[in-house]
Amino acid sequence: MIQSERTPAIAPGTPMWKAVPPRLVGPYLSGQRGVLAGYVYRTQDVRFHNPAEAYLALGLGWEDSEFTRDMTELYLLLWLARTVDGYQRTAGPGVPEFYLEPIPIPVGAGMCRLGADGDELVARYDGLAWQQTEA
Amino acid sequence: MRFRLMATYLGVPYQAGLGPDGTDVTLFSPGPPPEDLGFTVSAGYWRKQVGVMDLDALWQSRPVGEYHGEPCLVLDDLGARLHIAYMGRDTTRAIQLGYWEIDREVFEVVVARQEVTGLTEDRVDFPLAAAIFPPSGDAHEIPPGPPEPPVAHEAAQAVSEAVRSTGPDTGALAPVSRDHASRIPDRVAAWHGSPWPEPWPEPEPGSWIEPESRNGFGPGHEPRAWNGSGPGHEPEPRAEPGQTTELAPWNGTGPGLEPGSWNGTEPTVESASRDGTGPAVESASRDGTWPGPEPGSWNGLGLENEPGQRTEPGPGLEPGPRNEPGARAEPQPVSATRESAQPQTTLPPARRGAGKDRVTPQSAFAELLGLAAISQTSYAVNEEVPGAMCLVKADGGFEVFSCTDEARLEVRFFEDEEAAYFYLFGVLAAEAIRSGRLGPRGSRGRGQANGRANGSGGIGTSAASTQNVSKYLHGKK
Repeated sequence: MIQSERTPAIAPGTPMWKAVPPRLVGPYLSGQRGVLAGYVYRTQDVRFHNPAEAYLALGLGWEDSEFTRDMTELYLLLWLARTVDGYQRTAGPGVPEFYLEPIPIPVGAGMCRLGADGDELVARYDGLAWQQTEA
Repeated sequence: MRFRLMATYLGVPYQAGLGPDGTDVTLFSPGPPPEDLGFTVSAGYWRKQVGVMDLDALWQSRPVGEYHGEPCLVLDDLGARLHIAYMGRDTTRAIQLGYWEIDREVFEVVVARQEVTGLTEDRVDFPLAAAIFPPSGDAHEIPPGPPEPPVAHEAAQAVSEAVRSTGPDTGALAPVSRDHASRIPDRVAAWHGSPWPEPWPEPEPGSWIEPESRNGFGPGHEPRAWNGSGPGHEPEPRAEPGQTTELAPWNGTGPGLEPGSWNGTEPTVESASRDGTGPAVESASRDGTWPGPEPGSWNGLGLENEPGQRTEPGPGLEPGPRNEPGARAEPQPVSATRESAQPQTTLPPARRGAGKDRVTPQSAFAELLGLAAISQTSYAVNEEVPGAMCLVKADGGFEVFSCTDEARLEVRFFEDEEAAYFYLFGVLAAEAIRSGRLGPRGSRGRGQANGRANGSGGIGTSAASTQNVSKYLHGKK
């Protein structure tokens, strides 16, 4: 048994989000992918209004990235941080980035679509599946 | 064996999810726990929201092993294959090992089970207090820093409000979208190939995508999903028992994972958990007494090939061509012609209602294609046709994939022919639904939230889903 005592790099309850690579949107929403991992951001730290801005703000242009500047839509996962998540602050200038080892998607996490016309919550995770938000 | 959060509540371990509130945890049970525990059933599984501090313990079940001599985390157990994640951030090394960078510095791959050695299941216990945050509205207030971005605010706020205002089992969700039907990604079914009608007799209102693994009960539901809830179809007479068993690896869960498998044997699980041995919990699951409400395998029906099937577990660590996940399956020789496949679509439709006569997969496929008015140009059997979904024989089974001029994408392997055909049909049907060629009958029109003419949720209701599945399959870059 391993006892985990993780030092919080982010205040518990802080809204976080992560850009979902297009190829993973389906697996997420279908419930086939149940973990969060990789680079994540505090919502407070990033500012964008459309996919093109998000592309820049979230540094989505890494090598082999399937994000593109001209994407018409982008999906973002949103959730509230907890200490047990184990966020690791990464070094470097610019927008604070946090690396997240795989964690199960928290109950209540949201899937947000960002388009040219803004963003909206399209689904929420109930712990086993994504529930479409009601119009 | 899979990576998941677990919680012990009143002495019984459950799969758990933190939330929805900052002080809550949601427990999941695949079968009905004792009534006095107050679990509520929804869409075939039981859940209960309790306070984190009311738990006996909270821990992560972390199956780990070694892949090519380096540590890996098992995200999902797919039976003969394991979906693993690289436990490091060395891109070069990860690629050398054969992982796919599915996201920036996130490396995963699906490999043959025997390629992962030293499998153990770590249990990482969390202090309960570390799993909560204050319940008040201030809990998620943003710490001092830059002003919250105006656009970010709406969705983030909606999430926060939804988290706090709505329990996961109420079905009511934050009213954010003005036209959410037009916002549904058009690529859901394409990725995982699971456009099956909903496998549960009473779908949960508000449910969106209905994966076969939604309730974690595995293949036992899959046949019913196919045969029981398709539009206008009578239940398909299931094949021999052995065939049902063959379907088991589809979503990586054993055949015993029926809702009714909660058989009162939790003491076994309990004893397993109290000694702190995660694997004991796993062993309990293997006998069907604790299936664990698996929240959906990454691969679901197409488990063999996500995110990148390594069909040849060779010792060499040289990275293959960096291509779309799923495209690494070695091409199989194709001997038959398209013409040979066509007759399958012209077979007399089987009488599903007849029930007793065993219909062949081909005839069932043909009938379904006819009923769904699937274009013959959208698929090919025993032939590789660029732009089409193809089903070909392979060594030991059948492969279904999206064919391009350059590669096979989203390759799925099925030992069972019937499974392969049904999978292919599912993908084609999903595409037809998206394009509007195939839709629910009666009052359920496109764009209606949670339309359920066939129980498949909103996949077919996307008004914006005019783009086909192939677009997603081919959509990288």
